Amino acid sequence: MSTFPALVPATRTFTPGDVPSAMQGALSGVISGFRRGNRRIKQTLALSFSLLEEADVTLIRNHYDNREGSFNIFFLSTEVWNGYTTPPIPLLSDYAWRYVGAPNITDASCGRWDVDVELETIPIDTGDLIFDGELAPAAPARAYILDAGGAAASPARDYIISPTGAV
Amino acid sequence: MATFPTLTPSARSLNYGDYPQATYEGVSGGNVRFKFGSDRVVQRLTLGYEYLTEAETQLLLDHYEDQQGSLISFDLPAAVWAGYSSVPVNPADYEWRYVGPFQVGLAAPLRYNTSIELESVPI
Repeated sequence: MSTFPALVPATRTFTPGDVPSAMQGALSGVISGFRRGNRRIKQTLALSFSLLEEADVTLIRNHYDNREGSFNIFFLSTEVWNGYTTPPIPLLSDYAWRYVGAPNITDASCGRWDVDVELETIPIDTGDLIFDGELAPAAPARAYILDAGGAAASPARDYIISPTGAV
Repeated sequence: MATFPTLTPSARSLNYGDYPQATYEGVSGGNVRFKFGSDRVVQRLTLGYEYLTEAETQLLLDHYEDQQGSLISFDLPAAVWAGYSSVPVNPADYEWRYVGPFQVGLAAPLRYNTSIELESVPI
């Protein structure tokens, strides 16, 4: 599991998304709402990095490649939420992030670049998630383990985050 | 294959493209994604040139003609990536083609401006 590069953005715009729902209006004007899920979707985070050195641009490019563009998910570093005492989305939670699109890399001045990226949350399947999974048993199989502690190595997990002592 | 003219742009913007994939979204907002390839597609490079001489402008126009517009892909010279110590888009993996025609504007007497948009082609 990957974490976004530890870079402090120059600007940051967070949109808290919405709970998936469908609204139906009657002829009388009364509206009924039907909730389709219990977690917010389309939470987006637009990050702008200004006057980065080439090495920092490469960090973002390599991370984007490592995540196979917008395909794979990741978590954010504390630096991304710099300034918040409590990030609006906890760093390790049942929300992960993915790229909405490709980073935009623009020449700023000699040897410096501006980079814009846009991210959105992906609700992680909580059925596949263990928080603080110290000594978690092998069954049932989970795809994600946060703070895996001494979690069993078998079956293999797709994502192990903070695998302190995991075998 | 004709390499792009050796002209260093005065402005440059790179959109890094994405991996080809299809996303299917449920009503709950949860989604499933299928990846179809291992090379990024639709990387866009926008090059801005200012105060070009007529000869330099003609180099660009001739190159566009040689590549039959957006049809034939080509390599980029190191001058296009001036400022980078390592080229961000590996030339061994990608060539480039014109997205479409570009406009040549008058910047000053006998000097010309243009902005060219290129798109990567995986090779």
